[in-house]
Amino acid sequence: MLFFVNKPEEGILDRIALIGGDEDKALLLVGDAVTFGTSFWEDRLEDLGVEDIYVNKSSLEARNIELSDGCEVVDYDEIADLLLGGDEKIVSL
Amino acid sequence: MSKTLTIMLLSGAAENEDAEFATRLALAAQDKGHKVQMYLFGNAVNISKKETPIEGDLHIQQRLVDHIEPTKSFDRLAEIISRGGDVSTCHTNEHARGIEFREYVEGVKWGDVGGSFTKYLMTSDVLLSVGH
Repeated sequence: MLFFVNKPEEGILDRIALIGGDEDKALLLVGDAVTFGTSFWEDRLEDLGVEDIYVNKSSLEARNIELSDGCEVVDYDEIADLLLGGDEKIVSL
Repeated sequence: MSKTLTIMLLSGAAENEDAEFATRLALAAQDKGHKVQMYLFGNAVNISKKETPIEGDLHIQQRLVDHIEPTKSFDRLAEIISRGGDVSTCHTNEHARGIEFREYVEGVKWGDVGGSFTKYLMTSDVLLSVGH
């Protein structure tokens, strides 16, 4: 299950837990939500069972922040593939 | 396999990155052969209208103008439509902002939640809600 997140609101993590349950989870972070890709949130996301974290390249470059090691930076072309290239369920939060 | 991406955009171009992100993602999806539908709701209805340039000095520093221009989404919206994208607005949101009379970007459709957006929902493979 791939969660599209563009807001840096902590309550979103509770919604991810509620919706995602025991399923494998991945995050696609854009806009201010790229802050979820920093080391501050690493343990919390691991506890939620988030296995993959994708971070929008232009959002990251605009903020000049440092991501944790597990994040993968993706451009628009790659985001289109993540959203439309497979059969994974997409949840927009 | 070609899919249909529907983006419900709720933000205008000048308040955050949502409009820029949504329009750039739409173009990237079209580059890969996917169909795009966009429903403009809330402040996003502002990007459905043709830009009305002013004449003379903008009284804005050039550095700031250079920052603003790429975030405007009128041209990208027109390109999405020219490539076959289906874009419609919530006319009630236009009316609430006093802009319903203004001319649309070429190809934008007058719309509503019960008709346009419902049709999009029923014909989507992936739905993104992009807003704050």
